[in-house]
Amino acid sequence: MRTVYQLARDGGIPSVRMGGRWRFRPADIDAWLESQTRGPRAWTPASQPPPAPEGDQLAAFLSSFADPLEKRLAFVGRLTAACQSRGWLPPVIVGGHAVEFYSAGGYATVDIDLISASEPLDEILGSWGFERRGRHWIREDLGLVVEAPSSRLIPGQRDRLTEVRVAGTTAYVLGVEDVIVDRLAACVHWSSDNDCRWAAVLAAAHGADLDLGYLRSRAAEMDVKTQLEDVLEKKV
Amino acid sequence: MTRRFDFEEWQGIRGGMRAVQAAGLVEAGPSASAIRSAPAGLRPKDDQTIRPRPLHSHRPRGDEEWRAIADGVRALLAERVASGRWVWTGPRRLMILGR
Repeated sequence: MRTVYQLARDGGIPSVRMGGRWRFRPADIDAWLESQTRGPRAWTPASQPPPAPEGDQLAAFLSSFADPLEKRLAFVGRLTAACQSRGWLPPVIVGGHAVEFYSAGGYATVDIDLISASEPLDEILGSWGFERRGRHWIREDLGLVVEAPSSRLIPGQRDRLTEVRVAGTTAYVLGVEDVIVDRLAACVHWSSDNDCRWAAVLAAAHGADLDLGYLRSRAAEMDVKTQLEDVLEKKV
Repeated sequence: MTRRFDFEEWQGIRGGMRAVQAAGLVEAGPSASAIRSAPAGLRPKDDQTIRPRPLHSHRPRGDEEWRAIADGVRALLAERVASGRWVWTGPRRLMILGR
């Protein structure tokens, strides 16, 4: 136990100190354990940059980015640094903003969906002037809307994240294979043909870099194998 | 071109549509035809200039239009790299240079 408390004090394990006691959320410990056993992108808080600037400093930092996509990536990079400096797992960009990244801005969305625990977002984004409204954290003056639809990745996804270095920070984006499968699942479950089309666009744009074995395995797990084969065959 | 972000309006739209596809509410991506027709100097360095409409509205599109969108996305990715701003330093590792 002494080792665990030492890790907590050093920020080496996800934990929060409340009322003089260390609290450990089971979901975060599971996710942390997963990160410890998986390759070079394992969680390494000691090597992270210092915490992000707060409030107005954030606005000044982001104002230097002319490109909306890069601005949001830089924002997530700052948020990632702040999360990790507090001992939390790095947030991961998913959903529409991940599609926006892999389409280099060809797809546009307003909100930034993240895989992250909500506690660090409450603490950090609150200190940066964001307002919590329901499931969203919002700073209207910066046009930033953040949502954390889930707090954990499924096994294997963390190995395939894309690491984006921007302005001295690092943002993580869900792997392109998982984003494609996510779009296909949306296509099937929301009866949204456009999502299948966007999956095809991403598959065509990143075809040479795709891990087809993993892609097919994830598609089978999500019951969208047929749709994936259609997308790969059509080659938009 | 981009209207001031209105959260309430966005929420209302999002409630029924799951996303933010309404034209004018979002910073729209460039259309494929706009990418093709833009002068070389405007691609994509000055991409605000070539963002006339979103690519992701839910209106149905034909195969031809989707092929054009796919071409446009490939062009956008290639231009980010060609401009020297996006540098792939390894598999799944991207570095964005400058601001």
